Amino acid sequence: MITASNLSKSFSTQKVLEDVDFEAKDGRRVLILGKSGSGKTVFLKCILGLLGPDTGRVVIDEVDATHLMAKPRFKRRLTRLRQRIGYVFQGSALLDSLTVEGNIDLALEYKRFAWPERSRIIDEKLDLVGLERDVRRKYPAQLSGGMKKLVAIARAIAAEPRYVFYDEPTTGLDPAMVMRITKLIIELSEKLDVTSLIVTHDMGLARRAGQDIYFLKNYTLSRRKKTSRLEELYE
Amino acid sequence: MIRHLGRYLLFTFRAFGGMGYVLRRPKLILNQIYYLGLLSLPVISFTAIFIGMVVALIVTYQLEAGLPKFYIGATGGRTILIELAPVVISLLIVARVGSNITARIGTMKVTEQIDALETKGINAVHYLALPIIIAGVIVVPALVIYGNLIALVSAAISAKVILNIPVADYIFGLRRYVILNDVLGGLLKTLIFGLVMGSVSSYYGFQTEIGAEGVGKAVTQSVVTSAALIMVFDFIVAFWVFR
Repeated sequence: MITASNLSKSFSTQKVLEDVDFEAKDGRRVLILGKSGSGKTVFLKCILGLLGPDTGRVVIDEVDATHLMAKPRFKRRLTRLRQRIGYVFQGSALLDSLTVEGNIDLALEYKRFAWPERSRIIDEKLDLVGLERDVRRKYPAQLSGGMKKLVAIARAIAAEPRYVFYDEPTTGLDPAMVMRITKLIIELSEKLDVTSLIVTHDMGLARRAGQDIYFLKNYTLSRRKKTSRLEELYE
Repeated sequence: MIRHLGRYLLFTFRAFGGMGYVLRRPKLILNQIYYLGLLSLPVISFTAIFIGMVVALIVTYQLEAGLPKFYIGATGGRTILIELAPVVISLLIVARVGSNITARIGTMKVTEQIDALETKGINAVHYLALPIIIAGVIVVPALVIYGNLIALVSAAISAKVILNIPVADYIFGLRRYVILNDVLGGLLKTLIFGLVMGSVSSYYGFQTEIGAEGVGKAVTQSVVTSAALIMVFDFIVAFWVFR
C-alpha cells in the first residue's frame, strides 16, 4: 500500500501541492484526475522520489520513502524501494541509443539474471503488451507513438513490480490505441496483481479503468466517487 | 560562477564514484571511444594537414630573417607538438563532440530519459557521464598523437613542395631540437583537456533546463566553458612544464 500525508511541494514561489493526503490500496487501480498543469505528474514524482517533497511523508509498503529520500546514505534502500515500482512516462522516455530489447533489459539490470533468462523475460513482456518479437532489434525512432508507449509499459512491468505508475498513458494517441492501452492497463492490473496509479485527464480511461478516483485541484487531492459524470469535476 | 564551479566539482567527484559500475560494463566505455574517437578521425586529419601547412609557411616566413633551414623542423615541430596540435585538436573535439554530448544528455533530461534510468535504480551520472569522461581521457590524447603525426608530415611536405626546403633539413631540425619533454608536455595537456571536455559537457547536459531553448543554452555554456578551461589549463601546464 502507498500512503502520502501532508505532502507539499513548491518550485521557488510557485505552489504545486499543499497538504495532500492520498492512499492507494493493494491491487486497486487508482485514478488521479486534474487539469493540465495542476501538478499530477509532480505528485507521482514525489511519490517515487524523483522530486523531493518540501514537507509530508510518503510510505510505501510500510517503508518511509521520504526518510530515505532525505539522506544520501539511504540511496541503496531507496533504489530497492523504487524497484518495486514501474513507471510509464508521458512521453514514453525510451532511451534513444538503445534498442527495444536494450530498453526493457534496463529494468532487469539489478536482477542479476543471465542473458538467456533476461531474453526470455523480454519476449514474455512483449507478448503481454501485444507486440511482435521482431520489434526487439528496433530503435525507438523506428516505432510509432503507440508502439513506444507499449514498449514503455513492457519496460515498466519487466522487473515484476508491485506498483505501476502511468503518467498520461493515452495522451497523443489515436482512438484505437487509446482503447488498446486502456484494456491493457486493466488486463495487467488483474493478471499481474499490481496496484496501478494512473494520472490522466482522459475521461474514457477514467471511466473504464478507474476503481478509486482522486481529483487534483487547488494544490490538493480530494477523493471522488466513481460517477458517470466525471466531466463535472472540471467545471 | 562559484556556485557552478562547486556543483561541477561535486558532479565530477560523484561521477568517479561509479568507477566499479562502469568497469564491470566496458561496453559503455567502448561505445563512447568509438563515438568520440573513430568518428572524429576525418575532421582531425583535415585540420592537422592544415596545421602542418600553416606552421611550415609561418616558420619559413621567419627564415627570411636569415635563420638556417633546419629551423623549420626545430621550431615548426615544437610549435606543433607543444601547442598547436594539442590545443586546436582539443578545441575541435569540444566543438564536435562536447557540444553533441551536452545536447544528447540535455535532450535525455528534457524527455525524462534520465528519470527513466533513475526509476530503474540506475545512477544516471554513473551510466552516462563517467563512460564519457573516461573515453575523453583516453581518446583526446590518442587523437592528438595521431594529429601530431599528420601535422608533422604535412609540414615536411609543405616545406618541400611549396617552399622548396629539403626534407632532410626539416628532419634534422626535428631530431636535433625536439626533446621528449616537448612531446610529453603536449600530451599531459591533452589528458587534462580530455577530462575537462568529458566532465564539462556532461555536467552542462545534466544542468539543462526544460525545453529546446534550455538545451541550446546548455550547449553554448558547455562549449564556452570547455574552451575557456582548455586555455587556462594550457597556460598552467606550459608554466609548469616549459618555463
